[in-house]
Amino acid sequence: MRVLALLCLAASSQEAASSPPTAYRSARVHTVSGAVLENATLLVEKGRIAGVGPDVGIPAGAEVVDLAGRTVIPGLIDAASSILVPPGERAGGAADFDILDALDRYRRDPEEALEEGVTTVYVGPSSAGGVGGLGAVVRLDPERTVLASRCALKVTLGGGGGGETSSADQRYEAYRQLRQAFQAAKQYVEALEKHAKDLAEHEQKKKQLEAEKKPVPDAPAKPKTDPRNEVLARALDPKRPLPVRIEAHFGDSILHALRLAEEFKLRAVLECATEGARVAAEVARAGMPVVAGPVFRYGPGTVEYLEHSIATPAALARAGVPLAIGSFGDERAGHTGTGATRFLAESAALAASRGLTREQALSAITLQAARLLGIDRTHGSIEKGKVADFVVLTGEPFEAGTRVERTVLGGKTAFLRKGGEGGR
Amino acid sequence: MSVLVLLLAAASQAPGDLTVIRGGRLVTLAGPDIEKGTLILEGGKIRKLGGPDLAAPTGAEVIELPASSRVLPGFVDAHSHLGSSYEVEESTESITTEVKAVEAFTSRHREVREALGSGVTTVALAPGSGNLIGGWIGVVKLNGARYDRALYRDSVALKGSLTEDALRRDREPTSRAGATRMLRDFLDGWKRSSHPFFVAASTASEIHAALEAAGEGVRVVLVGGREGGSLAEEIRLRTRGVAFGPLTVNDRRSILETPGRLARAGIPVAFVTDAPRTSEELLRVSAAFAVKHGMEPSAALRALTTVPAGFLGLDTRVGSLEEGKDADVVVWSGDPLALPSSVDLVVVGGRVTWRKERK
Repeated sequence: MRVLALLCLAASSQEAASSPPTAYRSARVHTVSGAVLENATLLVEKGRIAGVGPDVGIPAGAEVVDLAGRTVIPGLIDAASSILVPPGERAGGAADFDILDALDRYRRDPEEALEEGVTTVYVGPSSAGGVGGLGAVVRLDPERTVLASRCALKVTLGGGGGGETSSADQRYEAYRQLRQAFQAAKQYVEALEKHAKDLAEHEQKKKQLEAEKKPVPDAPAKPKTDPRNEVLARALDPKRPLPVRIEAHFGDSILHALRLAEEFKLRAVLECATEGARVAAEVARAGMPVVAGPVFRYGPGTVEYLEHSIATPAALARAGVPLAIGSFGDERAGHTGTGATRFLAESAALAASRGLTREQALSAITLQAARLLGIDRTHGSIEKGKVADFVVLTGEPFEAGTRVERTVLGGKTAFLRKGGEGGR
Repeated sequence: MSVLVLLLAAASQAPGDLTVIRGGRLVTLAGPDIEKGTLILEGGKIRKLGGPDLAAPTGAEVIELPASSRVLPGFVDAHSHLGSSYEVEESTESITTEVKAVEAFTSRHREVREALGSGVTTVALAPGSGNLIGGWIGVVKLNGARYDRALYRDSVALKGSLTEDALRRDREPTSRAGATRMLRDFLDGWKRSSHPFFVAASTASEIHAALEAAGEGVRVVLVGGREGGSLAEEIRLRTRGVAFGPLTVNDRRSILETPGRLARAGIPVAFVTDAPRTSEELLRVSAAFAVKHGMEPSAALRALTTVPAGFLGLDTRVGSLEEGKDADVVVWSGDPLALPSSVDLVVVGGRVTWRKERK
């Protein structure tokens, strides 16, 4: 996380070090971390939020943007996006697959997402079955700044891999195989630790033997380095575990995920949790956060999505599960191309029709998403000191006809709607 | 809210013939909205509607609503395969005028159960788009009843198709040109029918071919119409309107903007689900996406109510809150075009058929 914060600092200070402070005044501000502020001034300095509230003073020489009648929300964060990577190149299939190797910075889909207020996305391998690979958090600035690389390991339980998920046996088999992979990684770590210990003993003995002028035996052989087990080992690291994103759709697969996380002390996040309503209490008890979605399903869907319901995020939230909502762009749910991220706000809004409060819905695509991705120290809310990534709306979020008027990244206007007011 | 809950409970325990719904905003779709309106339902019909001063008749069940509620006519989906498991085509022949899509419908289907609380109360069941002439579109009400009591009309319009799906290797037509000719020949013999003709056509060339084949004298409703933006003038002059295919998160911006463009050109536009392509739950989502991309909210609401009712020839019965129309009424927690709004109560034919669970 420290590395991450530094990266952000570097990025934002480069961006706006020389420009004067900007004061966005008379706005209604959904801070998400705290109260909704009326008639507030949002002061941006050097790419960061220098202050927010009704009493924030506007320094001399500051550029002033009047936002009367407008609403400001944090930049939206899609905790499971399909943009930036060409469709068909997300398959992964091994622990050391790094999604950044498939990243295409020159795709145009981020521009449309920005116009809908999405400023940051998590991109990861799709569900190839079993161990998928490593995901990353990317900001949709022109440089496509990577906020966190190799920051989560994707695994899938009973989903993907040729649709062999329809029976409980097949899903149990998927769990068993994944468990074996983590067990093997555990043995790999133990072998490495044993080698380190043996080596230390050997060194000590060596000194002694050399002093006694006796023959020295060979040093213990180092176990062969395995890049895949190296990644899995990071997930097992008790001090700074690499988060594991476990995609699971079926009730039994979700329970398998909980067992896996408990057995290997994983810092796990559930993806999709299509049947999450059935096991919401168990997920809540385990304290496992969920990136729920996709909210929109088209067509009959594959077997994973048979029990799909737009009520699932609400059921999880009611049970007390920490909840983010992702757009996913999953073709098994009838998504084609990479358009789903543009409708992240609508995904949360529709979930709100089934009992998620509007506050929970907004947080699920801002602050909760940032927490889940480990970027909440710098992103996800309108707070002093955070990076100035925010969105100006023409009205209240989720209302009919409310549109994004302006998207600001690191204090710079990255998108301004044609005819958009809020002038200079 | 507690008043609402109590009275809802009362209404469901003893479904009387005379029901009054009052307190919310009546979005009639047949004139201006009525704040704190009163709606009197009797004998399965809307008997009277008015403002807060309209007195409830004695003996009526009264459902009191908070002022933030919106009371709308049940939505009408003019093209769906709901509860039909894709069994809506007889594909050995390309012209199957004897097929009725309602015969594939089962009210026990999971999709039907899920659709009950969606705010949609009238659903047109259409044959698929795999035949040049697929057969008859019929209409069911989502009243929670078995098929025979859900059926409203078994044949309101004939369905044809000029999409790729209608072209097959193993029988005629195999090409767009062949399909257009066959459709023209068929419609020449059919022109005297008073029924509307729904024709699936989505791309610009399919739409063009459909307009060519129909010529004069056929009351054509385009189904799909997704690339209709560039043909707006022809569509306005030569069709009754567009039953616009569902908008999804996959659609590019030009498609998302098309319903608004068509409506601004004066073309009647209705949204359809093409269920199970999308679900009845998502019918209003197409409207919300269109509003976001420039469609007038009032046009978007008409596209869920009066316009599809008109396409089906049912506009004297459903689609608006007016005296004498079917008592198909949906109470929303707020503006249905705002996605967080939800359905609180559904009344079909004067009976409460669905209400929100309290959690």
